[in-house]
Amino acid sequence: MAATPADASSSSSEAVVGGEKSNKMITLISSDGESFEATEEAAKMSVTIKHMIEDGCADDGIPLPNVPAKILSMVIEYCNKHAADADDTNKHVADPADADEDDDNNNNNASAGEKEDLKSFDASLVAVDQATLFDIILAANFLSIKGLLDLACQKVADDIKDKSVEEVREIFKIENDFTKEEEEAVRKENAWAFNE
Amino acid sequence: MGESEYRCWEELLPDALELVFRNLPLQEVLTVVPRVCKSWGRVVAGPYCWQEIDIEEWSQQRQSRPDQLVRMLDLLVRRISVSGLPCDPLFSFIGDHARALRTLEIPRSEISDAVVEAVAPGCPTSRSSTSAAAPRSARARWRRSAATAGPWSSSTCGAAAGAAPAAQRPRPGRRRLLREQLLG
Repeated sequence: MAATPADASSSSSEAVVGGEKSNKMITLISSDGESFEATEEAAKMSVTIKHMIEDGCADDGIPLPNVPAKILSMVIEYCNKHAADADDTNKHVADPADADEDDDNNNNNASAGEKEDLKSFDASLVAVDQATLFDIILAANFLSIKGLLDLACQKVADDIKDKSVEEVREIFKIENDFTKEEEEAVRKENAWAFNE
Repeated sequence: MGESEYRCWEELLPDALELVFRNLPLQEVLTVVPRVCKSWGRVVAGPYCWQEIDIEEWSQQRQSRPDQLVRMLDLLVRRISVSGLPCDPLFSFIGDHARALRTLEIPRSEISDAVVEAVAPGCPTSRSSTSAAAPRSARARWRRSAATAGPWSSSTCGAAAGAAPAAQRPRPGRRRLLREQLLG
């Protein structure tokens, strides 16, 4: 619940906007009113926040009414970790439309050890209950943080893989809204592909 | 704490669900996800879950079942065609590689006539005709097909043996990924 300490050692070039240095701290305010600090570099991993900073809306702190404190602190943790890993701001995804297909575009200059460290960090970040995972996805989507969104969605996919229909419903607490006949029809539709 | 453990996964943003389903193997997206609930079924039927599908392993296990290979390709093309995504490269790929393909119908697709004409000679069992009217009839057939959302049935794959414009190669990117995986 504590605010993530700022990573003051920023190796990136100065931000252009208003002549502010990129190690400026940005205040992010969760939906329940908690304030968190992050370096501008880390905060800009969110394309949404990046645009707000560039539009000059960030001076009094950025309210994020969609993101509760518990999730925001995890998001900031992710951004701090990955921003520190990227060499310069050019590695950051500027816009989702321009995003590289490569998932690891933030890790291009990381050593093998750092990559392993990052991988295990990522794995532990999303090793959470399904409700938290859901909230992370919503936050990453709202904040436009492609890496985090991909990470969380991949985790959900991993949780679905090799499970039966009933197991998936149980894990994600999904109600079956098919009638027996409807479900049977859907099952039959593609059963040919995996029946011997 | 008052924080509910419940989240409405049925109602997760379709964009996010698409990202989830795209990472799933073929068996899950065909036989598990569509049955979980109706909203997931709708999302997984959308084209964005099908842009990178690896059927290499699946097809290798069905070498003796060309009818199933054709049916799978039909399914894939149909999924991608639903929202009018361009599928010229995929169509020419099918023509290049589905030697046993007899018929293929793709309603509401945006396949260009040039591609149909280029691919047709490659389908050995397709009807051939040297008539100049043949390409037009192929086009007409495609347009009629576009008006109806038919079941799995097929219509003849092209009818122009005479026309031979340069065959179109699949564009680089995702389609080539699929082709290379099938070629091994």
